[in-house]
Amino acid sequence: MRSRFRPDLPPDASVLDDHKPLIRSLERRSLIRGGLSLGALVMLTGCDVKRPEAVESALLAISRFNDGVQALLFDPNKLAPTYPASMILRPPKFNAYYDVMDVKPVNGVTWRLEVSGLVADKRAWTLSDLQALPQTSMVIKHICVEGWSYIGGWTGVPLRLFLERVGADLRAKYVAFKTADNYPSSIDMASALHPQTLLALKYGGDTLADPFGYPMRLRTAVKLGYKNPKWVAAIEVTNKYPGGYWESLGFPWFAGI
Amino acid sequence: MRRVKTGTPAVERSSVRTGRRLHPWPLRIMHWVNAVVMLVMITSGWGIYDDDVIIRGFHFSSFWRLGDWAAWSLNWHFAGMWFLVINGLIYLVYGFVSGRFCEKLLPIRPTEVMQTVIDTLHFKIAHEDITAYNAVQKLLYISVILAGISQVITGIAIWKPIQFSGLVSLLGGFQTARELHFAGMAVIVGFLIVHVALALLVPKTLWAMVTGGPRLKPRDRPREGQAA
Repeated sequence: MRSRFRPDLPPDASVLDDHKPLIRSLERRSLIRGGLSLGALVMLTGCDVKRPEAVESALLAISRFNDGVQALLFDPNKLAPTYPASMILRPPKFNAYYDVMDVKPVNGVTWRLEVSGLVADKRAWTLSDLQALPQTSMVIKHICVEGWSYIGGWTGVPLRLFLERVGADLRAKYVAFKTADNYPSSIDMASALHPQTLLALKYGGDTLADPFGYPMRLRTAVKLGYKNPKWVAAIEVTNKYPGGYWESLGFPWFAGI
Repeated sequence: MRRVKTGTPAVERSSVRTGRRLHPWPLRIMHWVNAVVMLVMITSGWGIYDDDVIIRGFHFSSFWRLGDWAAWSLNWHFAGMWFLVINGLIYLVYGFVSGRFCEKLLPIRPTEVMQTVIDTLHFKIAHEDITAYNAVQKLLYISVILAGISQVITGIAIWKPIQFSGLVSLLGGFQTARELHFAGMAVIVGFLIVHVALALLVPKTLWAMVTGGPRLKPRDRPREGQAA
């Protein structure tokens, strides 16, 4: 289709001749402009420029695709390597989106664990209720998305056992967590049912210390560190994507290892 | 176009016109895709590295990092990996099936390597014929191809250290796999500096990777050619 902005008749050739210098300067200017956008492209790799929206949404789309690939790669029967208790780091490494000095301890006596979503029994749990359930211990590696790692020893209730106790729909997609430090998190059901995914109550045989999630935190061997919320206050079983703290800032959601 | 059925000049002309290029078009596409993807992987890798450095005190300034912070460096890295792996796999299959690897990168004779090193130290760098690599070039190209493969293997190990825990222990543990991944990057960056510097010194090599370069004579089975 013809452009509405194009004249029906081409301009007289003499017009072009009369304005040759101007035309040449315009062409030069467009060259400079081209050079500038090339410069911007180069700066993109240097990244002083904020990420453009189109690039950001393309990267997020690939990240979601990668979440699917990671779910396919996840073998529910594959156990993470375990280590002797002598290798446990004491105390464990602290990491959060704030400094260790800003940790607000949770009172274990008044603490309650809320349960909601696709579960039969929505009764809240006390710490002694959880302590009364069968406990499992594991000495596993904690791997942070930043690259550092350490070996830690954790004891607690297998999440699978807990989900079975509350009559959760084990075909639901997600298990979501809310915490006292406002650090929402969520994992896929397959990882939640993995035998090395615990509602951890102890570290190295001792009750969890305040900075590490007392009275209860999630500890899973099959996810990166940031998928292990501390000071868990509520668990929800859901089919609606719950996201998480770092995920909302751009980090991958699945984060399986 | 008029077809000439007989006559020597016509035959010669047609063979010149249809003879394969030094760098056939699929190879050129793969080369430039790889060039872009490698830069993405290297600079986003530097962004990821910076959150937990391997060499104490050694950081990459934000100018060199792709992604304004770790989350986006990771997203670039995990997006780029698909292009790197797919492009790389096609390149490897192409290199073996077309015979390009055998033709261009083999054989490497130790005496030739020594001679090339000595010549280079005397500033005698032969580059009249860009269709044949010298022994050092062959070694460098093979090294960087192996480094690229190694990056994918160590990358898988640190991406999925539990799902591929056997691979991680084969590599000597998670931290060692990280260090190997870092070392592989260093090898590729080292190659890149030499490669780009030489391409700029001998611009016809750079131009050949854009346009395809000179047309080659029909392949006269290299093995026989050498024996003669």
